[in-house]
Amino acid sequence: MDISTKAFGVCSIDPEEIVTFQNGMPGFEDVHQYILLGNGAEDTALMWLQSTENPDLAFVVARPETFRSEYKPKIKQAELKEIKLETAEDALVLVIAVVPEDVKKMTINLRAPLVINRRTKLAKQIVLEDENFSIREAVFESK
Amino acid sequence: MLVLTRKKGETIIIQNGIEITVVDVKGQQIRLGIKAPEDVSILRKEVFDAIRNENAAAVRQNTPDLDKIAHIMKSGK
Repeated sequence: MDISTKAFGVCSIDPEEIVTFQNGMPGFEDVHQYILLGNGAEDTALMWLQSTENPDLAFVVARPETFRSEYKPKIKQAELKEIKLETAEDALVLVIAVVPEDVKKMTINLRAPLVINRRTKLAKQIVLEDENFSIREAVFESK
Repeated sequence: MLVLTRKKGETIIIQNGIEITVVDVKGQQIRLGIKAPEDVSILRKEVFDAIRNENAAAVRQNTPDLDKIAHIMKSGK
């Protein structure tokens, strides 16, 4: 199916790859379906999480381990149950990036990672209780 | 909203499993103790609001060139 995207114009996507946030994300509770778009490579550090419903709605998402190899969020079983996650291998953990004009000031939100169940395609943004995780972690400057 | 009056040391119970106790009262500040099952998520509302604002900020940005960022990551500058 074809969808309009923020970064790439009209794209052809595989409907099987659509991920569903059953409760949306904080601030975007009414948007449920997204697709991950990258430049094709599975190991791309940065990707777009594009709404399939609204072309203007897209998040830059990152693999947290690219920037913080020690990142190990503690997620409650009940939250994993919501996305029917049974094994860690099925989980794809991503964080949302905010990329300002000066891209070196880019930050990632380690406090509220996205967990996608690759098998069921269910996903959830999980707000962690641990206050040590920053909502605005600078990735290039504080290294 | 249900409004209850409690004194220091008094507790309310929610759904049989969650207990909220007024631990201390000092002027404008009230310390609450919360006893809940491990899988119950407890957050200060400001945190949730901050996440919501950050999500909105993430969407407001222009369309950054991800390849350019990848290049900065590789080269370190």
